[in-house]
Amino acid sequence: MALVAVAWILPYQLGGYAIHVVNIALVFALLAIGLGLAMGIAGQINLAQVAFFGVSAYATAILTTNNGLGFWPAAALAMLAAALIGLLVGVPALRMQSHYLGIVTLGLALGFINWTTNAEVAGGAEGISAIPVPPMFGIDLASEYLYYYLEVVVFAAALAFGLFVVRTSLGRRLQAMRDDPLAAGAVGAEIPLLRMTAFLLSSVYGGVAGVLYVRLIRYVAPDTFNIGNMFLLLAMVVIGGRQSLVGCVVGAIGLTLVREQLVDYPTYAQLGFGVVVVLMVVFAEFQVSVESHPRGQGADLPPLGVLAAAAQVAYEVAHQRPVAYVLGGDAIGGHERVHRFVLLAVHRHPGGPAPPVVRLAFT
Amino acid sequence: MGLVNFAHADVLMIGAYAASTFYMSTELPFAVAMVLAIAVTGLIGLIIERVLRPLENKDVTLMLIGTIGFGMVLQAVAILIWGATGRAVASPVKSAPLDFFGLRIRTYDLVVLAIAALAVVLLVWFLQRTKRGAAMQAVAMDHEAATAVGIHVGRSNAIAFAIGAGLAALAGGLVGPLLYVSPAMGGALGIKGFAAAMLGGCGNIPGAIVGGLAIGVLDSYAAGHFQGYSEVVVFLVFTVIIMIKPTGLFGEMTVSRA
Repeated sequence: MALVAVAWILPYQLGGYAIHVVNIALVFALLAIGLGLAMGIAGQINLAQVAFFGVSAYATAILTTNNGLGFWPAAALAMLAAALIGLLVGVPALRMQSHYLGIVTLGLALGFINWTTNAEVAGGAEGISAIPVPPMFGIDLASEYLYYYLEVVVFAAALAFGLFVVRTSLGRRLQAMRDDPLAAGAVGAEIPLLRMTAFLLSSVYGGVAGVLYVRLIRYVAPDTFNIGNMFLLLAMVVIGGRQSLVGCVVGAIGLTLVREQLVDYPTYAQLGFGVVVVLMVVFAEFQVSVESHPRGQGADLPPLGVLAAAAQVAYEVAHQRPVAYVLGGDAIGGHERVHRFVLLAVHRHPGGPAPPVVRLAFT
Repeated sequence: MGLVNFAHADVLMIGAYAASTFYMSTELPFAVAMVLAIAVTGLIGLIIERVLRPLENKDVTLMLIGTIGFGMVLQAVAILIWGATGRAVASPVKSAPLDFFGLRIRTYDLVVLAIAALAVVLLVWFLQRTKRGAAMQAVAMDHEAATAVGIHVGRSNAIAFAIGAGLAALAGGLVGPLLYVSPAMGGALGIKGFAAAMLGGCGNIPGAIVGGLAIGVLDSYAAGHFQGYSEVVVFLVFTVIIMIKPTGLFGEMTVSRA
């Protein structure tokens, strides 16, 4: 409930640019959920997620500017288009997996960018601008603050649906397919159908994100959907935790915020992301446990630290596959206080195969 | 090796930058610049392998993501060192184009062909005729069996990575004068390279050659007939072919079948 309250009053706390950043973060969070469903839950390498994003964005743009359709019809058709493309991209998944599927999906994504750069109807390299935002239920959606509420509602619904899917038997079958396709098939899971479903889910989320994004930015161009952004999305999902949808959201929002902080140093940001991704991947077997020094309890803990600690506890409690957080150093608290958290120990459970345990203390 | 290295394209880019830097800034002869660039990128390949070694043969998806991360790092490093705008590299062979049965062929293109052919021959000789090469193939086929007969898998993979990186540098350095050298040059080149490898059959050297030629010819043909849409055509054709025969035209040594 606290989250709902925070989400409700957030716009009142933030300035114009900040709310824009939050809106972008929510869009990326949607994309991350979609990618997390395909890659983390179903184990399908889907490097075409930006293309699904782009298909829906471009479809909305073209339908509203070229064909004069309204918000709802255009959005519905755009999501349908994204879903169809998702099924098309999913077809190669029936024949190959793993990095081969990655190459094929990446190639198709590149093909999509190539098409948008060239097609007349898509506006070529300059894209389509001045996309209208019609009012919805009398609310003027051109205001970023009001648009935020629309996004939050859609995002909450999407996240809830995603979490719901993971819990149903469909979700279990997808996870079984991820863990061992042969065994899953042997106990009766329809592997081809499940693979298509994974891509369909992913593309629907991409479609929703595309529609929201186009209405937000009111401009669409090929460069937004390039491979660099695809890898950034991948980094969000990996850093947040592939197999947990909430983790994907945290990764998406976190990376978007960090990227905004580093907007003057985009290259260093990219360097940082790459390094963190490599570290995450290499240390993915580590398990983190957090203990806080008694003095550091409650209000003294920095908000970021609290978030991090909560995330670790949640991961541990839920017994997800351990996600790497290589932490250490200082966290700046809300009142510019510097809190130290110290890497207490890295030790292995005696008897080998269990992953090492990292212990942290906040002081 | 059983791995697709998504950082390969960016390694190629680093190789191109290194070669062009050695060639243009320090006025070294082109051949020496190339060798130096290959050495430097080979080192980068070794570093990548060493960092990702804990993941080898355990979780391919994680390793793949790791290489993507490395690719991002390499791109960022390239921008930091050499700036975001690219550079044009002068062709090292300064002679007029040859006239060959009515086709005009740049001399440099022939040089590139010759060097590429030589590199392939050397690679094949290494893999087929030397102990280390055979060891590498053994690791790719079955790494546990390879360990059982005493091959150090980590070291073998390290050499594989280094050779791969070196070849990427060779490609990058050679292609520098042909294409613009920029931090993003890896992208499309890399994907087409992977596509070529897959088309011919992974782990299959003659297949890779045929695949490379096929993609190259397809690319040029599509560029001629479809102008800007060439990439869409290439990737669609590639997708269709690879779906008909996922093991590639010549069959593969290791592939993750559906």
